[in-house]
Amino acid sequence: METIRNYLETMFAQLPNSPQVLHAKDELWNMMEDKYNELIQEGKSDNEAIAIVISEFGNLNELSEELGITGFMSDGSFEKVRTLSLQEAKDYIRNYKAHAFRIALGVLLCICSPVPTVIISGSAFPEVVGVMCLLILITCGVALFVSSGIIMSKWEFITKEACTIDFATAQYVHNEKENSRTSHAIYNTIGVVLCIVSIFPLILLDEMNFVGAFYENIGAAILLFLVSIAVFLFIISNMSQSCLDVLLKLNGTQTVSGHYVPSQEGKVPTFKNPVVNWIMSVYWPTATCLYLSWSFLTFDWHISWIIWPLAGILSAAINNICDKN
Amino acid sequence: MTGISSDVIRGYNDTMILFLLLEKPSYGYEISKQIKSLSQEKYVIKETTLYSAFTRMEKNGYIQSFSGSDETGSKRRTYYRITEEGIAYYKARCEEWHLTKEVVEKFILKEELSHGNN
Repeated sequence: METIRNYLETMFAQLPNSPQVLHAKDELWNMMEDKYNELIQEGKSDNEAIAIVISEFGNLNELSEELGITGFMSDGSFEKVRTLSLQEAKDYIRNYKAHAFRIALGVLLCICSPVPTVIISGSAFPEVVGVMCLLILITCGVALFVSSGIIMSKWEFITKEACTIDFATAQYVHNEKENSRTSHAIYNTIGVVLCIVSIFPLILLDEMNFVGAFYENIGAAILLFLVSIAVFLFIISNMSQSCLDVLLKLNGTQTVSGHYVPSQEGKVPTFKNPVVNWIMSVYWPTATCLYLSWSFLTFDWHISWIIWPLAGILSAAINNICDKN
Repeated sequence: MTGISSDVIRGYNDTMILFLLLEKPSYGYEISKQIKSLSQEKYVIKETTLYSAFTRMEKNGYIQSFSGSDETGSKRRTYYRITEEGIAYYKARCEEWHLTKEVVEKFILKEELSHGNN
């Protein structure tokens, strides 16, 4: 039964999402379901029944007039779209996760690269060792970026050519996304906690009145290390999510296949004015930057929180004044 | 033996469907099943052909669709019933067929054609 459903969905995948098309699909599905059930009752095997139903389905070209898709069928856009198979989608997800790991590791190495220099600068080691370590770490990071980019280039066609995924694949990707929701949340939470905690060693070492540049440097090194792990987690979890989104967004919302995963359909509302849109895209990061720099520079933590309510009110005002699409 | 050419029989799908609807309102699969059994499995109508005929005839007012369920009430389906116009159209198609048959018949050999003679 699943095979028949998938066959029908694939046949209809590229058709426009019009009431006539959806109605035709429902009616055809009813007929196929009836036929399949009766064949099974007659004692046919599952495979035989599927083969008979599919061979007696007919041809959608026959319906082009009824469905109002004559122009669509004849201009060739019907065949041009490439359909990713389930196996290809699985390979893509697996490769992309490995890619995410390499990129995240590269970023981690780059962020950590000053750590040896920082530690060494407070000790008896010659400084050139630190610089060497810095260069080596950055080189490794960049090597990871470059090699991973080359490995992933074989999947470029997914975003450059017209591609689509069939019903079964969409279901699979959607399930993957649902299943990864928890780990995504955990990774991000740990990342945020690490970012906040990263400042503690610096403050603690300062409070405990350890004298000497060495201890200050240790604090800074730990801060860098913790932040780099946090960024590593952010990158892994967000890249894994975004590759699933890439697959789910392949199906145009104007076609029948756009219905496969309704929850993915709604696009994030954007502002009509591109300038406002651009400002709003950096709005909250800017607010965060302002808050942190003000607080750290002046240590006026008792008052700097006022930025948040003010930013909230301002953002609400902008949302209301500038219409969203 | 060669099967029925779908080009030729296409013109008579409407006649067959209307004939079956004269008896009682019916739905997609039941009609395709009846066509198969009445033709002694010599003609199997494709699902897309059937759907195309339904929509076309409904647009022309020969049949009406309504939602209903069978005796067991297990599944809701789109049923079709024939209209007055449909009956008139069916009669016209029957007359046309008699005429067509009469004409074409004149050109069909009664005996097996023997090759090689002059």
